Amino acid sequence: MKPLANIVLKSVRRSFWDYLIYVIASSIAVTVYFSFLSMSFNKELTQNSRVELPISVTLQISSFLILIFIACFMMYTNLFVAKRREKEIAVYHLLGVKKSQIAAMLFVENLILGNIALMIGLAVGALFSKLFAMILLRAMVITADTNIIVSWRSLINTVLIFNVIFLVMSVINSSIIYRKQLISLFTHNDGASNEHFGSFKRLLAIVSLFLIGVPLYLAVNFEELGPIFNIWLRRNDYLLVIVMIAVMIILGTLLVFYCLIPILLRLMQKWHHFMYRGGRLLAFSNLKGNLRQNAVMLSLMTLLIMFSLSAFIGMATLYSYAQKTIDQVAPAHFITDNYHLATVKKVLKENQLEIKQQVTGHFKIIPMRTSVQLNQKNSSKPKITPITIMSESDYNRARRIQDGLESIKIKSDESIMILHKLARYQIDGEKQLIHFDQESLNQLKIQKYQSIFPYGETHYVKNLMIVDDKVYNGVKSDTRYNLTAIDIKKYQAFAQSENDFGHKLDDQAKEQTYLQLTGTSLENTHYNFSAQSKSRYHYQNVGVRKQVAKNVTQLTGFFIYVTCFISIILVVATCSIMMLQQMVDLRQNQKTYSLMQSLGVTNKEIRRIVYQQTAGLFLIPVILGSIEALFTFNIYVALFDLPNINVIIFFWGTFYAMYYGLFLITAHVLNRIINNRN
Amino acid sequence: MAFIEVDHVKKIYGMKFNRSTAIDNISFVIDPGEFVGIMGPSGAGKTTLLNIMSTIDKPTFGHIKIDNQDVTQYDEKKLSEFRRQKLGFIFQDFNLLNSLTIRENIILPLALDKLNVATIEEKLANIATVLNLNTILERFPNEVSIGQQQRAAVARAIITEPKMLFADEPTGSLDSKAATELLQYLTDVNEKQKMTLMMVTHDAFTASYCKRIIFIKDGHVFAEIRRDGQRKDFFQKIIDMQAAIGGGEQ
Ligand SMILES: Nc1ncnc2c1ncn2[C@@H]1O[C@H](COP(=O)(O)OP(=O)(O)OP(=O)(O)O)[C@@H](O)[C@H]1O
Ligand SMILES: [Mg+2]
Repeated sequence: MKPLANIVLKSVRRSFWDYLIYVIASSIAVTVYFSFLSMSFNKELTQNSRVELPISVTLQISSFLILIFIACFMMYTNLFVAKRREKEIAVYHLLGVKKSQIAAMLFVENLILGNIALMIGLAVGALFSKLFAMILLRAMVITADTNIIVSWRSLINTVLIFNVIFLVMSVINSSIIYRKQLISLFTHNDGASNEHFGSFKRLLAIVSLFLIGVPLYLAVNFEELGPIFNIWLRRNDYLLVIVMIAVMIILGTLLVFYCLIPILLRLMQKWHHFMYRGGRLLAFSNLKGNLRQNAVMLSLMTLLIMFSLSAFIGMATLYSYAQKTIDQVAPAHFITDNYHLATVKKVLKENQLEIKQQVTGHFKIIPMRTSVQLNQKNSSKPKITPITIMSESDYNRARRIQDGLESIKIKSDESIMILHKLARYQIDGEKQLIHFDQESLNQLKIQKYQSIFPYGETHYVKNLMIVDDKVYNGVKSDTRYNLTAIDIKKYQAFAQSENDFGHKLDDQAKEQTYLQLTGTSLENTHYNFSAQSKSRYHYQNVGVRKQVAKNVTQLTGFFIYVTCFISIILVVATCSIMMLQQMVDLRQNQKTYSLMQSLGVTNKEIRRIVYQQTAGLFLIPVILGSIEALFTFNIYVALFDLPNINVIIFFWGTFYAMYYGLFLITAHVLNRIINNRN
Repeated sequence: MAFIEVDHVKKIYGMKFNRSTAIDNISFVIDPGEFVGIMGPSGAGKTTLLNIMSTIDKPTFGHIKIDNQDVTQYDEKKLSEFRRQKLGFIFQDFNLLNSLTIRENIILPLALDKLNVATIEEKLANIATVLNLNTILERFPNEVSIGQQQRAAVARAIITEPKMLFADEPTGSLDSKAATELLQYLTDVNEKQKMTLMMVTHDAFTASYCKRIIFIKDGHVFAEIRRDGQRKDFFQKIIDMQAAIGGGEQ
């Protein structure tokens, strides 16, 4: 056993860099997971927010996603390190060390290294989680003590999960010795060899273009294609289309790195006028080797970049959506129905808030029968839903207080439907049949659909129909209510004050007014207000803009933070692994650089070659990822809203700056290593 | 008239407790256009000496003068310029780049000099024919035999038509036919282009193509012999000298 121990000790020293890369990668993984998990278990964070946000759930789903990423990431690093050690294993084998001994050695070694990484990761993670939580609380405008102590639950969780990962990887590593023939361990070669681009590989290269092209086409034409998919799937299932796009892009990206890029590079290499130019030949061939060896890592990086950049567009969408939501949900400082108007006015007076402006609208609720035309003769079973009716002049009056409202003109035989945005797709795809029990309404043509509700969309039972004043007066309904919008003077001061009465009103708003649906057939269906039992038809009776704004800001702050956190961490982690791999590769390729010097290549030229090849390595994923991300823009526009361009520029700019920084650091370090060594 | 002057050169490897002297105070002179062989047992310091003479390594003490210029005093930039313009080197372990094809390996120095592609292709065609490399140009180094790798390394060294060529065991892995062809070619270049040639070899037959042979042992010049008659007689002289010098370090 003694000589074996000696050999092991020597090999540890020799493959120090390989071990280092493994330990660093694992520590990063542990840090990320642990700090994220402790955040999601943190009570102050999850309970301090007044809105019922799915914070805890979101954080836990995110940590699950992070875990999947981490598992792939570590598996990859592990394979990378294991591959480099094949020759060493082969030597033990040749020296007559028993297979079981080698396997045991690899197994133990892996577990020990893993747990070293675990300890480093937990220590760093404990520090970071406090920092992260503090930033998050700020982003969500929560003022709380951030006495966050290390959460035992997440500690135990992390230790367990990572030991499972390490165990699996130890088993994989030690099974190498049983899986591989001795000769194949020896002949595993780092040198390049002519790849044969058979017709299958060429076909796959074309498939990869297709796999990226089709989703891009789908994304660009998402809004037009949406209804088609609807008919096709008979459901409003955009998620399915999005999942399809995602799967195709993932596969496509992998194939691009496995087939398309090698073939393109090969073609370029035949282009002697381009290639035979100084260091280009070397930079290019090094890049080629790197791309070949790191295809998985680079695809992963491309996808992460796409994910991050796309998430940033999502952030920008959320941001503009949030700003619009505030205007659409709470277009005035206070909105109340006629039953609460007195209370609201009383509270305003008590707090010395003077009313600047006040507008009232009148509504009638009636039943509407809808069905879907299936084919020429048949239609689906009719559904009965309530619809709110408003007069044209009431609508136009609301525009005095609500800027975002479109001006309309209605003829006496027309109506305008105001629906929620997503509901519109349903109508585009299907032929809806609408029927009322009042003949005057049945004769109306729908002039157009809109999606912005006067007085804010939460104050209606369902959809809203605007009709000519005369038609409105003729509508028979037992169910009526008014909405009053109030703007106060000195709103800014009120919004910034700690005055919490907006809050109290908001609580009152939660006691919504419920509508009771009585009767079964259309003819004798009536709606009545009742506060007794909760039916599924209700509207919000009091709205306070200050409160809405606060909730929305918290929500966006939270999502922006989580997204930035995840994307930046993932990209930085991947970049740092790329950097480490480059450094390890470099140790192997020292020969190349000392040869270049003896061929009379100056240090400056070597520097240029290093920068060129590193730039190539960093550029390909970022270009591909950016293109892929750019196309998701249309999906956001179609599903939600036009993203705020400034926010996109800010996030993308920051991202590119960071990425450029990582590139500079990598190239600089590589160059330093090369030029110092010789 | 001296072309290369080796002036009291000493090379010590390692530091403090594990120092070892690879070359100990060697001085000699090489004339322009000479074809000089360096022989000696394994570990005698041949490669070290060649590396120092060719500026690839620096001596611990002493100077190397080439064309009356002290190259040991050159800075990085001047050295690069010198290596690129005047020097050809064939390494004992070839030093082909694994990531480049044989073709790219050979034309690398020309590409670094930014010659135009037509000139590059022409020179490559010439040398590939002479060294019989045409069939393997598109392969990578680890897809060809050791002998082929060696010929590729030779091609890379002489494609630039350097003023001086340093060769460390250029025929070590060649069969006798290939070796003879290569040596004949080197002799031609030496005579026609007045290229100064320094060659390290173990092999008496290979050495017999030289005009002069310097024998070194344990870092010292042990003997020096000149060829003044037939190659056959010279060959015999070399054999005798090898017998006199004995085996390796121990
Ligand atoms: N980088 C180095 N570090 C320490 N010692 C070295 C180094 N390179 C060579 N040596 C030692 O210097 C001595 C001379 O080595 P050199 O390579 O010049 O021998 P050589 O004559 O070329 O031998 P061979 O015919 O086997 O190639 C040897 O003892 C060798 O061990
Ligand atoms: Mg040698």
